[in-house]
Amino acid sequence: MSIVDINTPVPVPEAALIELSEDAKGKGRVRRYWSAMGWGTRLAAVWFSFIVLAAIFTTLLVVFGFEGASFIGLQDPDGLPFLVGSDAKPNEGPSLDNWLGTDNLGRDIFSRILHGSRISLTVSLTAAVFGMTFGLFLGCLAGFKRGKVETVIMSIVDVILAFPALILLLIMVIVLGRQTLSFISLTIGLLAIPPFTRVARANSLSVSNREYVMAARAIGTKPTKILFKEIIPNVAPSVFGYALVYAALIIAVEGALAFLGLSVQPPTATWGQMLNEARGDIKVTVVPALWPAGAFFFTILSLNTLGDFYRSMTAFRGSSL
Amino acid sequence: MKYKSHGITKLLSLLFAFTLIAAACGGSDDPDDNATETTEGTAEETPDTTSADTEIVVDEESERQYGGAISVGLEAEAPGLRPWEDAFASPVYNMAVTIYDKLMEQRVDGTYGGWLAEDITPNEDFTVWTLTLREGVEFHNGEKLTANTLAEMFPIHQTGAQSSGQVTAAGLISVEATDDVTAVYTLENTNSAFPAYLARSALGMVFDPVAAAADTDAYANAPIGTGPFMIESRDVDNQTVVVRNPNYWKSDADGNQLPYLDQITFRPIPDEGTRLDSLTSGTVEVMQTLRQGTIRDARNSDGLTLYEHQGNNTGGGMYNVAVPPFDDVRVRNALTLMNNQESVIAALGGEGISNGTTQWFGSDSPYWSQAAADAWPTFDFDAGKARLQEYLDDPERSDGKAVGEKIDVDLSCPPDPTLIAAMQVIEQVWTASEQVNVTLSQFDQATHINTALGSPPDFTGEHQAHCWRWSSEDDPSFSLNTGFAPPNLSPVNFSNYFNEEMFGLLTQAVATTDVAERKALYEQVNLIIARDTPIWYSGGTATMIATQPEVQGINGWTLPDGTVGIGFPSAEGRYVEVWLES
Amino acid sequence: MAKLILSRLVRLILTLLAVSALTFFLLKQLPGSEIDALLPPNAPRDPETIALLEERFNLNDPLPVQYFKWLGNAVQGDLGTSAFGGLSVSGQIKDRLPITAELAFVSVFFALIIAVPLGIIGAYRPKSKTDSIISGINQVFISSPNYLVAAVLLYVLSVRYGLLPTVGWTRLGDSITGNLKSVIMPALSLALLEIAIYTRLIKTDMSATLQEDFILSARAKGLPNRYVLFRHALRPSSLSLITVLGLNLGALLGGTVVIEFIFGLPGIGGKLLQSVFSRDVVMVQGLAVFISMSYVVINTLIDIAYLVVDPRTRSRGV
Repeated sequence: MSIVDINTPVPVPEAALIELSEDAKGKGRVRRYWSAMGWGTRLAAVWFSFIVLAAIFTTLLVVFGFEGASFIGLQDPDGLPFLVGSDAKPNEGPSLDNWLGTDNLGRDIFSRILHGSRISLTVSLTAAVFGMTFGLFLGCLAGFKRGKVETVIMSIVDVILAFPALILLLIMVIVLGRQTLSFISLTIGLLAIPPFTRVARANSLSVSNREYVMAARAIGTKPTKILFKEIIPNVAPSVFGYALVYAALIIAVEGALAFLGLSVQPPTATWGQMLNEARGDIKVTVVPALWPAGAFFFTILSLNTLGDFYRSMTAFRGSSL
Repeated sequence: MKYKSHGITKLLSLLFAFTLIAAACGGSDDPDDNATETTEGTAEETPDTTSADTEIVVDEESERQYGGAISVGLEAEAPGLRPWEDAFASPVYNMAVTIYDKLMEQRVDGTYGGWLAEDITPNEDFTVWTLTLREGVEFHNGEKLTANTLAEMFPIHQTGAQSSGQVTAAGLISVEATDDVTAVYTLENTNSAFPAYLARSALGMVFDPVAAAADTDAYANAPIGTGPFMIESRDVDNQTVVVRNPNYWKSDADGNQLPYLDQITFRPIPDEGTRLDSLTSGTVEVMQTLRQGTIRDARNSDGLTLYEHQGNNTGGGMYNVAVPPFDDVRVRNALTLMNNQESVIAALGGEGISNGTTQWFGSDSPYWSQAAADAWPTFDFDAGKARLQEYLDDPERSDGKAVGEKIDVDLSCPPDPTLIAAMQVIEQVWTASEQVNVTLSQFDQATHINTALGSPPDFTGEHQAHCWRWSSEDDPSFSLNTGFAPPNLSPVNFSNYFNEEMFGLLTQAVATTDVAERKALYEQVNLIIARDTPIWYSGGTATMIATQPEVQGINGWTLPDGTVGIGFPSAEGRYVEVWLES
Repeated sequence: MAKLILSRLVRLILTLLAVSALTFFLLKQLPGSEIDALLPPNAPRDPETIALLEERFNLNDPLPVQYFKWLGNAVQGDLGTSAFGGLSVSGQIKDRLPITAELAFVSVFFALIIAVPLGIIGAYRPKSKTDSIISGINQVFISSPNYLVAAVLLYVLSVRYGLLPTVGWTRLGDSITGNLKSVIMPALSLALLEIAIYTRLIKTDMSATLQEDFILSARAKGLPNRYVLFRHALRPSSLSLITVLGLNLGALLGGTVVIEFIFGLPGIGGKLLQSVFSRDVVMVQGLAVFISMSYVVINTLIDIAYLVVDPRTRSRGV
């Protein structure tokens, strides 16, 4: 399996049922979580919060303009030096003006990395939320209803899963048009539904056999009510655990798309695009490639670490086998 | 179950990750990096303007010798090797010319001489061309090459994916063999540039028409030609091996039979960096590149022989003049004036390698004109702003927007890393004028071309400002005469620009073979292009073949009449006179 | 079991139909016709020539007719011939499958020989230093996109130290050592993530198995630990591993696009990518059908293997 294969529902053993353990529920969850973390996990949490803040902040900048942002070393991420009145040269090392140096066009890498977080997070979170919402519903429906509903849903899922995802993504990007952020996020989100459906279905199968579901059925509760009140809420935590890992996967997918020149269009800074642009000058200097590579790695690492932590905070009850 | 995290592990993993990345990027403590810097230093001291063009001369210095095998790293692979059917991009051309001979070849001065043809002579109005074929040439399968072969190739040419267009463009109606060595080519209309078509791959490369007609798909990967090398094995996308043709017809100046090499292995290596690494590490002995950044990196490597070629090929783009606001010459002038060639070339990594372009021809071309160079609107930001303001303030402006409102421009390039850099430079400069809203878009190559082609009946296309490569070593009439023909008749008039006067000049240029006369005509054409700017130029696209030092003879191969050939335009090398120095 | 195989067969046929139709009609929506892609960009496109070419390549029928003609041939085992280079689709599969398959199996092999011991150690000594180092390394592996790993390997092993050739593929028939040299880096780039996933799976399942009564009794009998772990515990702990292995192999047989692209390998994924870009509908369709087929077949085999390995699942009807 390749990590850029967005259809692979593996990192979480798919049928393992995860539920929040009692002590993690209720008030002060954040504080309790924090105290339960080792410092490596805390580091991951800090890094991820930083990326989220950077994404929010740069989004505000994009919406409200760049004036007044220079106080923390931020510059126009797309500004060429000779146009914005700076004397930066292409491919310079870190300096006071350009904290992380400049890229192949003399643009400020620090600003571009921060702006890149906006793209990476938007793409991965949109895809994960999209996949999770629809996948959860469809998967639970299939697992709960069984019969024809299940056959239809799972057949469609199987067809999409059987097709190399990157190629499908590529064709959709080319066929359906423009490489805007929202379009790419939604396309990846659409392709995220099948793997989530699989995970959700596997989990809903075991939930459906639980005593409380049996009991609800026995006393004649309406199936719709069982689905929404019993099944989905109990499957959701494990699907959420999967979503964290999946989001990490999607961050890498953006890089692969950029590699093929089909990520969000320039001059928008994305980590994948930055890496791709730095590739051409790799024999002159490797520094500009280092930062986006590091941003990719640490963000994916932090999401995975947080995903692990989330799973460890939830109890395993029942196993697929 | 409480989760206990292990601090040491996390630290270790972070450290490991960092070393992984650091290793990826290579420690700067390596002595090589310092060496690189010094080379750069010396490169700056000696201006590179002259070295951008390698002089093409016959190398008399060292003793030529037989034997040996080389590997050649190419940027691309052709799925098949049928001249009439499969596209031979410049990289593939390296491979194809070892297997196929062409009827004509281009000389270093841009004129054409016979290769498999002894001679070709036109009638008075350049509509009938009589070709005399070289005698005693055999195909790799032992079949004899006769004028009848050429006549039998024609029906295949008429339906070939690559050749059918050439047949139309050349206006070729029939090919008849009058005797064993004489073939008569009849054209629909006057075309003084016809011999140039016979020097191109699609119409000029001679294949065995009987074998080709028998099983065209099989021929694709077991090609048969008369060339200096014969196909030995072919593993598409991996390697193609050709071996010496022991019965090759051509000899060198001393009468020794060609070729010298026993074997050549061609390997497609799409990634630029990897291809150069393969050369420096000795995996291949020869490589070609069409990228200036790679030329820069090769210049910084020690112990390589570089054959650089400036040529006519130039980067740039077009405006779709059928679409407002590009239908207004002021907009096109202004945007062209605001095209900072110098920065675009720098973004392409071509600083000190490629020159800015002012016309259809490179400075080495016999058609290059000083008057056209002076007339081209070179970068002048303020003049561009002033010109655009005229349009913005015009109450009758063609895009129907209010006076003073910015124009909208969609700039599109294929997703090539260097083009992405270049388009961002242009976008930033245009945006900085505060008169233009620029949107960038990238499409894959096929979509990019298709957008420019448009669809019937008017072939307008949906493009606005569109990246494109202009010109080549081919005869100028090839692309100019169709590229600026009436747009509704010629889908490949991508810019939809039509000027009757210019089209008249272009038509006159294919009615004469006199170089001075043609030069005067093309000068007029270039002046009109500079005035109306339907297209823009950024910079010449220098190309390069780089070899290990022991590989000799890339430079200065000769035609049968002893004149010096074109060399290695667009990194299209000929291997017929290549030998290995011991 | 016969019922299972039958139902899988029906599903396989439906999947293949759906995939081929989806590919065909989706690709036909791509901007730019196949003829336009086939012609050189500056070829004058006079209508007669275009019509002639469309006829030559059977592109003048309405789309559904084209599809059903293709289907008719495909049922008889002829997946068609590409207009680009006259390559037959089945010939390309035959040429390229050995490379993609070798890459897939070698990477899975790499991953297994590393992951199985690591997973067992992790389960045997949970919360030990070794265990935490293993999980740390796994975390790094799982977070490294394969293209980054490939770049690192290329740089270090080829460019810096010249240990391995940068690109190209030596076929097994030509040279065994050459073949090994060409497979190491791409397989390793793919293996890192797998190592991490397999290690986790084995550890989780093994931990559960080690709690079971028959392990306790085996230990009580005084059997050596290693014997118990490998002989008694491994087999029942490898069920989820087998599932995931199947998924991985299925995906690898068609999904190594980027890695094949980086290392310039003449495999199936690279051809698929190239064919999408060149609008080679026949090739994309044929390869897609083949890839989907191998995916479904492998997963069916895995389901059957399940029944063999663990008889308990038979009654549950996977």
